[in-house]
Amino acid sequence: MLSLNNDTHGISSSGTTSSAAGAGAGISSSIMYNDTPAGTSYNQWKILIYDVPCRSIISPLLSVSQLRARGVTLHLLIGTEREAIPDVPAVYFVKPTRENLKMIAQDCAKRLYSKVHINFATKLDRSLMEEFGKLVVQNGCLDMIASLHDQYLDFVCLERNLFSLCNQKDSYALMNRSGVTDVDMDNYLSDVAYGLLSVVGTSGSVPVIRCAKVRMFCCYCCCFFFLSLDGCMQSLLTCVTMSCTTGWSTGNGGTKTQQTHRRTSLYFDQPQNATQSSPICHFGP
Amino acid sequence: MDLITPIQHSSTYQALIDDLLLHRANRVEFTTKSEGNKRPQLKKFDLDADQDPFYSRHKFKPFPEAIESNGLELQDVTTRETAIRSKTVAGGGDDATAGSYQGDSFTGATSATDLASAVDSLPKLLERKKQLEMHTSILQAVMNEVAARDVPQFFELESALASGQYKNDSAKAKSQVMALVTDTSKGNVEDKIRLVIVFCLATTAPGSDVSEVVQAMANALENQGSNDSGKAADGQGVLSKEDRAKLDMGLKAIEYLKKLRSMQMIPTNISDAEDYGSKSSGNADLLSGFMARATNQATGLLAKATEKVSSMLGKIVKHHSTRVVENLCEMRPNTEDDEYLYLDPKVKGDVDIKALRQMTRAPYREVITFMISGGCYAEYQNLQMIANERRSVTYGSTELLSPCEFLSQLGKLS
Repeated sequence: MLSLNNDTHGISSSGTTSSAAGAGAGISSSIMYNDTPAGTSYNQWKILIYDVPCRSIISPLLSVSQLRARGVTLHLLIGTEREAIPDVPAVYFVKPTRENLKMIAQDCAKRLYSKVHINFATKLDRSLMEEFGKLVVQNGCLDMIASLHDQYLDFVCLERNLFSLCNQKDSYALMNRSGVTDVDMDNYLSDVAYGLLSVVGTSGSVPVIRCAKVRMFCCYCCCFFFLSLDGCMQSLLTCVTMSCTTGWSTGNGGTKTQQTHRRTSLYFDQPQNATQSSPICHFGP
Repeated sequence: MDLITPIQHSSTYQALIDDLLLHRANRVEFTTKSEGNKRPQLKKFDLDADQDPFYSRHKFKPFPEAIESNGLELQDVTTRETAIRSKTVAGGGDDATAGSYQGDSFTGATSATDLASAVDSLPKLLERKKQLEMHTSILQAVMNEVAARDVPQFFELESALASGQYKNDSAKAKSQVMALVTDTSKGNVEDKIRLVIVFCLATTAPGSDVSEVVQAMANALENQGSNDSGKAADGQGVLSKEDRAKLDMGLKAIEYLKKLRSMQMIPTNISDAEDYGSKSSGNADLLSGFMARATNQATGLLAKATEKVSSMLGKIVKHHSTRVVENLCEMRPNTEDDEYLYLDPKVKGDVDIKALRQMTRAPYREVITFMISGGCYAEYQNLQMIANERRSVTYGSTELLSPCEFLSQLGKLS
């Protein structure tokens, strides 16, 4: 992501088998590193702009000096007042929300930077993409946008074998309270499914999913989640085999379709208890 | 459904940092104690478990071992540094330029190469020393908390309860728990609440027993205050506003869990403790070895550690999720491997599980364990016990919670 040309002098994941090492290397390889010293024509100076959730993704992985080694002279929050630096390209790493897209479009209209490379932590919705396209065309700054990728890096990788999703706080309390609705649960579980998709995608291998089949009450929640994850992955597999350019970044910086010689197993558990009141209403005896 | 693991006190270095100090996204913050004229300072450190060799070796080790290793390594590094520095001083005295053919020209040449290699290694050594000193101050901060709150006693009792040692003797369990929670000199409000929760979830003690313990705890706290609240003018301890809020929240959490338990939503987690690797004789050796080394060394930190935390060198039991993952990976029959769903995204449609069971399946080389609604460092560490060269285990969750954060979420639920 940070090398603005497309050659793949990426950091390889150094042959480790752990998937979060792949994840850590995934974010580094998406911020690709060249061996040539920063400031040369290959690895030019650039500005990194992020939002708050993406800052928490980057900060455990890359320190300021490591960013500098990759050519980032300045890193800023998207919501702050930023001055124009017209001869330097900017790399955006943000979540695909309406507000972020508006701010990017405004920056392009004001021509703050020379070129703009946009990377989203998760998939950009079609409707938002169309809105963004309209804004950019209306402002006449389509030429500013050099690239746009979905990076699928929506998780915080704390260590080689440890990650967490940047989801809502107090999730246990929210999901187990008595007034929780089906809609809340669905939204929550689909967020979690997308987060896991990022993890699995960055690790580069397609796992087999094992999960508890709690008999009466939890079927709804469990099955929705696991099947939606299953469904997401199936459709993504199809996309990948059709070489659809969604910027799918693999930990190994190489092939998009990973033939899994090593099978991965994804095992789920939930410390929450099995009683959610709404499933009881639907599925009780 | 294992609700004990996120609540229990732990004994390993990384889990203790997360539990006792302010720890978020690999950054730890704490205030040093004021000594003499020094004002308490706020210190912040970034921990990198992958790049820092000391931390990656010791984050899963019990706390006393981490202290000991830190002392030894720091000593070693300091000796090497002084040796190099003295060499550089002596080297200035010798005529160490190459090509000085004096009587001991050969020695002159070797000391020049020695000097060069020593000087090269000095920055790395200093870097390592800085990292070790950072860990010393973190260990000191953790030690202060551990000593002030008597964490080892809580840890010991909770491990005993969770591993089923009091399976047949719940009266004894109750009396031990009662003694600890009513002792105002030990533990703060949250420590006591956590012990009561483990007592409630890990034993078959009836609800009335639990209520009795809770009442006794609340009375003791109300009348005498907690050990870190100030004493009022009349000599009676007074519960501070924060402590009162914590007590209320804790009581709500206990009510919630009692309700769950009565609806039989949580299986009481009594199982035969399967300890990993270490046998009891091995542990006795470890402990006596530790004590012997401690008496030989003069470091204050270590001496304090021996006194307070030697009980943390015990066997580490496998938690529920570790056992389940192991069963799944090794495809053991009559375990969760039979009950769990099998979803394979590469196969469209249903997987014929019966046929799958007949086939020999390739062993899993990578496992990702994911906890919905809250994971913890203790569980992460426990899972690494089943990781080896052929199998890597990655742990993730929607959010990583310290025990007190999980407790506050439980408190919002009744």
